[in-house]
Amino acid sequence: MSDRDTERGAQTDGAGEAVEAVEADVDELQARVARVREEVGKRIVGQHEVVERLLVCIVADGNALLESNPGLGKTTLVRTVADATDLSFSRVQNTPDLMPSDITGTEIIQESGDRREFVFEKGPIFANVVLADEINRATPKTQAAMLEAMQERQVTAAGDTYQLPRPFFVLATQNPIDQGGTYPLPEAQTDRFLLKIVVDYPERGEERDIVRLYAEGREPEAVDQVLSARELRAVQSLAREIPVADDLRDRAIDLARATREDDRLEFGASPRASMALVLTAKARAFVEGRSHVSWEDVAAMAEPVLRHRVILDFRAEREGMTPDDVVADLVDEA
Amino acid sequence: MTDEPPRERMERAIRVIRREGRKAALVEATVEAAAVLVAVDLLVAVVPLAGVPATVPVPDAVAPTPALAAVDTGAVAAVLAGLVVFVLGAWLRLRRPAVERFGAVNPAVAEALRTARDAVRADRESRMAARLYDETVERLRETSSLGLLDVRRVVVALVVVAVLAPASIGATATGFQVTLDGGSDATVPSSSTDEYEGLQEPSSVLGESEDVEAGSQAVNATVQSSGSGGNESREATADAYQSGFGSGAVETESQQAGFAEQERLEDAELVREYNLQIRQEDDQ
Repeated sequence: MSDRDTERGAQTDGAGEAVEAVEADVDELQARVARVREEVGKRIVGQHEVVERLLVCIVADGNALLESNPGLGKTTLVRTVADATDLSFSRVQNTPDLMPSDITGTEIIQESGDRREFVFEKGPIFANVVLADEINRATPKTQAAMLEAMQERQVTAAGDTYQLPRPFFVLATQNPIDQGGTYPLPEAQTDRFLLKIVVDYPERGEERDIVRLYAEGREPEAVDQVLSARELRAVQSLAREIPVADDLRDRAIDLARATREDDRLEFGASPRASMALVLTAKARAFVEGRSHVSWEDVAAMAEPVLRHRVILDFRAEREGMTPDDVVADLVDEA
Repeated sequence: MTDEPPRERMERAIRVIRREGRKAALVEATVEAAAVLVAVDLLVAVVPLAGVPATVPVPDAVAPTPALAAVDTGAVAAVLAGLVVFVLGAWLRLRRPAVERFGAVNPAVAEALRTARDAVRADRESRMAARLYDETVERLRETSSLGLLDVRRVVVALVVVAVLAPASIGATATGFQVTLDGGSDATVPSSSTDEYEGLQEPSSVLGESEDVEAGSQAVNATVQSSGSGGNESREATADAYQSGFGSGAVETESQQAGFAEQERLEDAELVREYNLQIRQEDDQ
């Protein structure tokens, strides 16, 4: 395949429909992505890094695993991102009794006149942005159904295949505490998430602003819709076109490979991690308004890309290290 | 605004950067080579190398004039050293890609330039690549290729040339040399500061003294002379000759001083002066 990039003109989306590429100016699209960040900032106090990573994940057309303790605004964050665009939003609260068909949809008998026929009733996964809350509370069977849909961008029911809408994101959350009655995602499943974003507690000043914003009677400021789904598709396409220098690409690959050789890690990242690292670095460059990838992008995305794809050696774990510590060291050495 | 496609503009910009890189590398290598040439020339002029001929013969086919039939060994060594330093310096500098060197002195455009270079090489013409080319070419207008030249290094090399070149000329003109006898450096100027500028070392004129085997055969010799007071001829034996030499009225021809043929005569006037002195001593 030639290196020449020919991705211009008409594109075909996942549903098989031809959509015209948005010929808007690249600067204009980058400005709109920046506006999305500003709009999210109207409702989300602080958490700039989390917002940036979430946007990067969306621009890179990936799925994110958000990990945080309860009450840190994960749902508000995802809903606000959906509001700032014209993307449809749905939420799935995972529980142990949730069935795969509760997510993907099921065939129901529909009566029309004297006819009865099976009709596929689409589940909540048929939305542009799907928030899968506490995914580790669902049974492995339900998790697998969701993650398969997430990976394949399609759902098969009763022999028929249904394409999921594009763009499509699953933003799954999991709670690191209160692990009783949970089904932790296996490594093979977590590898399917482009990023694992850790939402941490806000600073004191930020928490004061949050209280002032949501607990003093005022209505939170309305979020403007600044980016359409079509424009978002164009943004995703442009982000993939961003050139990356050969040496930077090689360094990113070496960084991912280094996780397989580090003594502190029992298992390292897969080649999918190398692809994710380069792809998210491109997306970050676009979000930052650049037309080339810098090492700063690769370094910034290393932790969220690699942290859920590596397993600590028990000795390192005993010493109190975390995957983030090891990845940070590897970035410094790269 | 030009109609030239962004990719071609970028290619042209990269060509210019490479040309500037070559120029800077050659300038630095040339100046360093000149400094080494002068330094070696001075070194060879001041420190005599034992066992090395003073001149190197030049083949007739190469020598433009008979005067250049032999070239000073020191000059040849200096030129060779300069040539080696030039080739080595240029090779080491040109080995590192010009774009990387340019990026190192203009870090603001380093990553964009490297990316654009790789994108051009990969023949990318997407919208983002075109935007990168435009941005990079625009940003290159605010950069300078002067940084490619290590000005401090060049200045130091030029100062070395400026200092050593006159010193080298002076050392050659005055014949200043440093000997390394006895493990300690001793400065012995070849031109004497004594007032007397005449003959000081006869051996330099006559050559080394040689042992001559004494003759084993005694031969009688007869010397005939005509006295002033009579017509009779007188004969004397060798013994008589030896004992009476100088005291009688016997005339003898003076002998010219000899010297070994392999010794070179550097100053015919000195030889002549020395001969005259010998004759005077003999006459006394």
